Amino acid sequence: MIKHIVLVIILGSLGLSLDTNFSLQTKYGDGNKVKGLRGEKVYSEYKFLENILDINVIFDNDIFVSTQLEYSSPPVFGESVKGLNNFVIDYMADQYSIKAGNLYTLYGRGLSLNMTQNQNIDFDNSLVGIEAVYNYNDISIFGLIGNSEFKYRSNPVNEIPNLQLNNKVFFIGSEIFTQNLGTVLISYLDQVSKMSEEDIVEYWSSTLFDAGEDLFIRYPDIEPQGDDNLETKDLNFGWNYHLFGVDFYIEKVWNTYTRILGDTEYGSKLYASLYFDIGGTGITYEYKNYDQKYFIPTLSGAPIVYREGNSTLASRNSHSINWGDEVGHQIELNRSIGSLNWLGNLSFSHKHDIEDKSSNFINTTLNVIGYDKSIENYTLYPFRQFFSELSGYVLDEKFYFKFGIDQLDKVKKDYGTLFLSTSAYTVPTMFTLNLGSGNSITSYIEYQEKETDLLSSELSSIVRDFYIQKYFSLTYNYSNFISLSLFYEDETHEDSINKVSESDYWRGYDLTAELNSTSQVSIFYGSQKGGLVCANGVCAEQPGFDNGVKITLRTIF
Amino acid sequence: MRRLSFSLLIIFSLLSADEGKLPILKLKDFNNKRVDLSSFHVDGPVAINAWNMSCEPCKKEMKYLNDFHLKYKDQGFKFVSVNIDSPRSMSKVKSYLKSMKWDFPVLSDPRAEFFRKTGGKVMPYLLLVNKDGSIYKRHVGFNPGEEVVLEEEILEMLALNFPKKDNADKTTKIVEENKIQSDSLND
Repeated sequence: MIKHIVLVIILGSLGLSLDTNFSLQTKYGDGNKVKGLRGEKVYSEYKFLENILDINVIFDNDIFVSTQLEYSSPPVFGESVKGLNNFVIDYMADQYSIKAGNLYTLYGRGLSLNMTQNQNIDFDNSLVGIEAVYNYNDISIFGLIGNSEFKYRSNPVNEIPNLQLNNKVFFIGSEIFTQNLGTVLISYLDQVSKMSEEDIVEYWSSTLFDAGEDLFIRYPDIEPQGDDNLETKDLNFGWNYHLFGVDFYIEKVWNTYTRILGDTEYGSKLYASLYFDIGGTGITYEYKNYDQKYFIPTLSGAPIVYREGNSTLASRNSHSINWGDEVGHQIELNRSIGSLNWLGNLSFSHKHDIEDKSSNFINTTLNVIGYDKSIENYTLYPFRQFFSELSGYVLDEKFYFKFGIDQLDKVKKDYGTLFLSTSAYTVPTMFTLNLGSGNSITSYIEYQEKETDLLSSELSSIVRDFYIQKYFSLTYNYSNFISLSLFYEDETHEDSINKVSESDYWRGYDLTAELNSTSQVSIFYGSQKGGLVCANGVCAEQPGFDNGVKITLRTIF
Repeated sequence: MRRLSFSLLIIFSLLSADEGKLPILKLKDFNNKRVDLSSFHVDGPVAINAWNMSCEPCKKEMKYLNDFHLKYKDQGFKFVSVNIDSPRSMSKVKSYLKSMKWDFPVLSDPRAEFFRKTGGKVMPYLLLVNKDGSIYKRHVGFNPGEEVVLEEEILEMLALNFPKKDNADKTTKIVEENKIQSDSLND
């Protein structure tokens, strides 16, 4: 394949004008990997070397060729790759475009198709195929066809994906824009996913997936045998409309899908958002209703409708969305106060109430918002989060600050029939002082109190843990050239049942040099706490790093 | 053979590589109207960045880019922002933009085509683009204080795109003023 790429570039350059850009990212690390906490810590050697080279070539301004080569042995996270990671040719004309290769695409808000790559969590749900788009005035017609080997994990703790679905996909749709009606999207997706017998058994023996539990109920005594083809058909309708400063979006998917070794099910996904402004306060409301139990998402990536925080401590408690069974709301307020900006956010979600479909919507909502500690509420696996933040420049724009408050409460299923309740209160802050001449000081200070409670099915406490975590980082940036950072984090843990109290800390130093405006090299020495990293509802548990060196090089040329 | 091909690819591309050109891209604005990215640099040089809601340094940088957009728009310079928020957070962008009261145009690119096609890997990511669509400079990352360098480069780019004596004089004057200001802060 690489030979072909070289040939394409050489031949292309003979008769066409050519632009090339390279982006290289190299990560090297040598230290210890840490799993578990305190007395249960397990250390192992952790060496990684990850090189990712993106080569983008533009021929005559309308043909774009993108190649990603990877040599990782092993990477920071995930499987080793040596060779071509992905490749795409994209031809753009005035009215149409054609892409062939690895397709990363999105239609509407991604309820049917949202294909992305995220190396931090080792996620890639691209298809290898052909995509074509034809535009005529304000009408777009698009379609794609392709295959993929989608790899994923039965548990975020797994470093290597242990499950795989082989997908065949056909997708077609149209988007129409009119001044009077706004934008209307209609699309249809047909997907067949082959699941191996080995993976079916993995589902059958796991309590982490609703689809696995369902399979176990249907096959209680005997291990299921044989492969299965899961079929999905999505009909998608979306509508976006603006009127008098009000922005409204709704997207609904009606789908049929087969359960693992089971019958065809009818499901739906609904997402809606509304934006308006009252007296200078921007208000965004979002609603989701994802009702497709036992469905295994591969190509979709619908809005999560909650806030994935970017604070170091708060992000480790992120809610894990249940794509097949979740109703949720999010309200976000934005207001400028002089030179400052205030943001307020409330999000909450829960499972569908199967026991009593006719139950009062308002009561369920109030119970979730109030985090009612009743068995009725806990069986809906409620999640709620309040977040408020003030940020902006003061002192003649020399000082930038951010001060936030985050309260998160959630319940999730644990060990099949137990509940794990988590409540965390976090104060994330950030300060930057501009000293002039390219010199600045930036500091992140965060504090978190967290309580986790493992509860029986009757809600009696089995194990209760209490944590206090503090995170501090200080960076001095000299002359836009060298940055020196210090990181410190500590955690105190109390087990209220066994009356045990322990503490731990992590410390690290980082030196970063800006070689030019697009090249940066950094060297880290020390230890870092691991934890959950989430992106668009997909989470992976990054291992801790102990007493080692990491070197990162990033450059565009 | 594989190593040879790979080396050839790198060497050949390095020989032909310059800062490159802005690719042809049509993106939507926040009123769902499709806009050709090249339409922004027809009348003068532009700065185009890629950002998302979780990128704090991007927001800091955009505050200065808005100042430059206002300060130099009469001289033919524009700043255009490309938001690459995914469906996870794209509905919140409008509210955020309104609260910031920025003046520059913002386009939506949830597939991050602009970012990927121009070689972006990490944010903040900023391109300074000449009137003819050629890329004058790229910037990755932002630390407070770098706005001084950015302003100098915008002025250099203006002088290059509109080679009049006035612009050249203005560039020299502002670069000197910035230097004096920085020196006095250091003292």
